[in-house]
Amino acid sequence: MKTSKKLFLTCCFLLVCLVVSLLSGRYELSLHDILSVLSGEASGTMNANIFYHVRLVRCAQVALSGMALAVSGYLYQSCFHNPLVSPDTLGVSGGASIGAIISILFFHDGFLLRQVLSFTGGILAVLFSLLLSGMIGTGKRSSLLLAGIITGALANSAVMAFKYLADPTTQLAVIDYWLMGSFSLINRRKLLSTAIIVVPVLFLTVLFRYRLKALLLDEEEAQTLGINVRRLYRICIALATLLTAASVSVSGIVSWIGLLAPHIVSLLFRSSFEETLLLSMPAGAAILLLSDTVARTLTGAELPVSIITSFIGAVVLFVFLSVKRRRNL
Amino acid sequence: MIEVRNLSFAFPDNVVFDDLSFILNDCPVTAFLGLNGEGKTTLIRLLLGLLKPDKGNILIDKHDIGGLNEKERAKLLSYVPQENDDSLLMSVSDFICMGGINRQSLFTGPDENERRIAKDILKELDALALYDRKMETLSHGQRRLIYLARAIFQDSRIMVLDEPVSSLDLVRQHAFLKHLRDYTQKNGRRVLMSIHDPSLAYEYADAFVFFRNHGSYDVLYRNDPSFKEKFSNDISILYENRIRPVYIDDGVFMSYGSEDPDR
Repeated sequence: MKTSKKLFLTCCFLLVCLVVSLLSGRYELSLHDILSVLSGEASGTMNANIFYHVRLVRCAQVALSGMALAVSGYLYQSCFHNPLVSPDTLGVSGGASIGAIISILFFHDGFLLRQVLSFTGGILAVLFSLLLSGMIGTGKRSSLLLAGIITGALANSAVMAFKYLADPTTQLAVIDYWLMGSFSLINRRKLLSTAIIVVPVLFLTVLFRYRLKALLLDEEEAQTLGINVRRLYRICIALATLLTAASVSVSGIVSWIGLLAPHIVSLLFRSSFEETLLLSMPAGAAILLLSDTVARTLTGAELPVSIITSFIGAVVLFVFLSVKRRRNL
Repeated sequence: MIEVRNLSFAFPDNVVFDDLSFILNDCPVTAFLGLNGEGKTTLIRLLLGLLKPDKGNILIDKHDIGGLNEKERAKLLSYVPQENDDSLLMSVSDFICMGGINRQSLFTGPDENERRIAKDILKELDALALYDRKMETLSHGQRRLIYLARAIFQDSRIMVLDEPVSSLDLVRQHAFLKHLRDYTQKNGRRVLMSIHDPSLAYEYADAFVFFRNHGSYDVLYRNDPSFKEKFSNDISILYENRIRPVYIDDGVFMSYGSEDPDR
């Protein structure tokens, strides 16, 4: 199958998910309503307000986060030659959690501050991992992974300590809700601030895809081909970290997208590196849109989105692995 | 010319080289001969700059390789490592073109011309059918050829190979080494390889570096007036008189055992 056909199919799936997501919600908007809003007939009405200020903003944010997390996951998996690592291998999520919790506990929950602190926390955690990897090894692949595990453990310990200290009647619930991720509090400002980071980084990633492909090579081989391996890893980690930190800082922790999207794409299409990188974007957006739609329609209240993504992740992974196994037998 | 000057290198619990020095003149094919654990692979990795010497330096064509960056080194040396399962997640064509990554545009990857060169190289190696395959689906022997193709594509002055034929069957060993020799003759490039089988080395190499007790005890050239005599002598030092070369026509047969006259 050609790349363009694969891309077309994935984008069709994304479009379906997008329409379903735009149509569903507490406030009823039919396809007809949306079309009339889009054609400008219904401007100024409640329908138009809901559509432009709530539904569309949320869907755009979800799609953007889905793309960012999927690409970030695939970059990390390629960088570490490990199909099971996720975007938070080097501690982005842990650091972001600490940032968010600090804002919840000590600054009475200004939303902008929470976003800024969790973004900064995510970046700092990864810098800490890089620093550690220089101290325990040579800054190569294996030492990075180990440094990431250490950072993750430290962050986890801090998160637990903060939760222990938090006021159980007010703060604890907010923290837990953040740690399970949700797009319920999305607004235009958040969408814009994510897009400012995510869109250019995705663009750069796609632009440099042939260089990034060298990540798939063995470290020493790549070096003898004239590649500055350490710089390549740093660039890859920087791109992946910015993507994850930008999306996690507005939604809280959203798990599994970074693992699911690239795996589904490469199992379905047997795609090459460049293709998987490209296709992971619509695939990640589509999966997260579906998950978010389920999260906000399944019950009367909003469910945290990681409940859904983790469940879908488990089911899909099982189905794919068993199908793959049967094919091999 | 390769000059190793007072080279010392040790792993944390193992001294590999202590003050190693030798000079190797330009030859199409050079073979490194030595028993397991004598430091052939370590020397290759030092040559490639993958390891840093504790003391001393290595000069290749007057360039101190310690002072070069990856890019400059890649122009000087290409590398065919021992069996490696860690970089197989791409197509054969992409894998070969990785050999020229520094010549390619940052954004578009290998162009039509480079793909064609990769095809031509595969044709020369009688492996054109592999062009569209994926690396992970190839057999060991096929992968060896693709590694060779990538090193040829890289087009460096010297190709360094670490035990390139030790996992191949006899027919493929000869085919591989013939390809290697053809390559040096056609392109005027040099090849440097470590190899275990002295009869294969005898058949295909023009120069020999013998390693023993973590040092090189002889550098021998085929055009040496008393080449056979010296080769026999070096072989008996290498194997502590347990192997005796028996020359038959153009080749040499390695005989093992008690018939050894020196015993």
